[in-house]
Amino acid sequence: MRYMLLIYDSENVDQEVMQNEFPQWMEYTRRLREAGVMLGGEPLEPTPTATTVRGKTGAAFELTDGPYAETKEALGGYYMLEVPDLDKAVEWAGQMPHVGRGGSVEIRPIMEIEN
Amino acid sequence: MEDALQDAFERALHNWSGGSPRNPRGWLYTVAKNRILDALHSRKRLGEELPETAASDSRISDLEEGRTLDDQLRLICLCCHPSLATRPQTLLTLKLVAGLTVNEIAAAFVMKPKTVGQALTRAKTKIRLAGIPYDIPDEGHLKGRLGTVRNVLYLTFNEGYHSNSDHSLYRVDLCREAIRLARLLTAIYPGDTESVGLLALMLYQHARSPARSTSDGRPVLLEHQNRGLWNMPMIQEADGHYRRLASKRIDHSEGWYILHAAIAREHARAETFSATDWWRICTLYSELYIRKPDPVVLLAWIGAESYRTSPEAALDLMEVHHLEAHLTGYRWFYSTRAELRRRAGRSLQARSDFEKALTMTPNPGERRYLEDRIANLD
Repeated sequence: MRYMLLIYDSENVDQEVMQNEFPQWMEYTRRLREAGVMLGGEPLEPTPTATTVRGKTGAAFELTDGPYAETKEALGGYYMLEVPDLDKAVEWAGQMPHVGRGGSVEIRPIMEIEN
Repeated sequence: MEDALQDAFERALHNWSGGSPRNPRGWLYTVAKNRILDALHSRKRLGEELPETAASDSRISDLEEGRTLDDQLRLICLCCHPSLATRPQTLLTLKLVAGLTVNEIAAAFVMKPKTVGQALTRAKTKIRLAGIPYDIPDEGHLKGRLGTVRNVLYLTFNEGYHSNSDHSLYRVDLCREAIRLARLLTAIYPGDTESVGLLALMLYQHARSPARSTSDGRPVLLEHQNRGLWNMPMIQEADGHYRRLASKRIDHSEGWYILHAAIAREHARAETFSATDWWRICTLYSELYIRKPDPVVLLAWIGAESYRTSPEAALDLMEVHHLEAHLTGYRWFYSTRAELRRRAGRSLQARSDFEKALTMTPNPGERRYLEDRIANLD
């Protein structure tokens, strides 16, 4: 099954912590590739760079500076994995470097559209 | 209220948190349903007596013969997958493993059948779409999963044991199912001491059921229960399980359920209320509290302390620990303190606590009981 692992993290993490963590993310990504489970994945620029398009019924859409909703944790990146089941996806998610300091991962199965 | 407490408080500690697979996962409606549900469902569950011992529970020995035992465990593990919240875990277990109908579950949990149906559909859809595996977890994850299974079983048992309504027929059934499944669990994993502890605990508690309420549903305090009504064969079975634990030199502090079973055992072995070993019970509660410093555990502990020392000393402990602030809205706090105040001769204060408990109590039998207590105050 394919899963999207959405990486949620505080955007106020100490710069130094982030830098020290970077090699761990590289290593984690390398292990995903080596295991042959990684279909893709990228980090995202932080929410101040976000632009939200919001539609209005019967009117032109509007643009908002920033994310759709302000939350304590913001989406910071994603991985797309191909693994047999949810337990395997959980296992990989639990190994992400930011989890060790309280970050979270939302696991969402990719909707399979059958032709 | 020692009985109500020591029986009831686990419930507050286990707070509720709030489709068909694509092939080859078509098992949910095919293999599992046909093999297990039909087998379980065909029996007359409601009229059936709880077998006195595990050996006489023919379903367990039947199961051991085939692969069905494996299937059952796989199904339990699926229903109790940690990616599901406690409520859907419990509903799924009762529906798919215990084989209760939606209407029976709804009656037992005082929910609308439609709500139960919707919750089950949501949970099944998640199982199917999220790819929750239909497998017994590997060694590394099994321990955690068994913990979840025990939690669900004990919640089910408590739901049956502590009635919030008058649906007693269905509720006793929940106790039976919880005990049956715990037997199954211990049959599969005889070395899993916490599960054995859970089974012993439920048996000790269920054995007291015949004496726990009057025919019109009023609770009878442990102090006033007719111990002759207790189910002795069930207590003996519990003793057997407990002795097995003792022979394994289990450190009590290891297991939450083992500790609970030890407390329930002390009550079961006391020939009269005044013969109760309160020293030992207080020690066990203190171990429980060290393991889980929860105000509800503290309340039960203080309740036991009132018999070891005095109601006055227990009331002082409540003050020192600011227990009321921690347990606002918990009716057993008020009914417990009411009893302590009554025993200490503080009738006026006791009345106000009983009245407060009354405003929080939905169960008709319990309400009549509290009204009696108020009427009998000096």
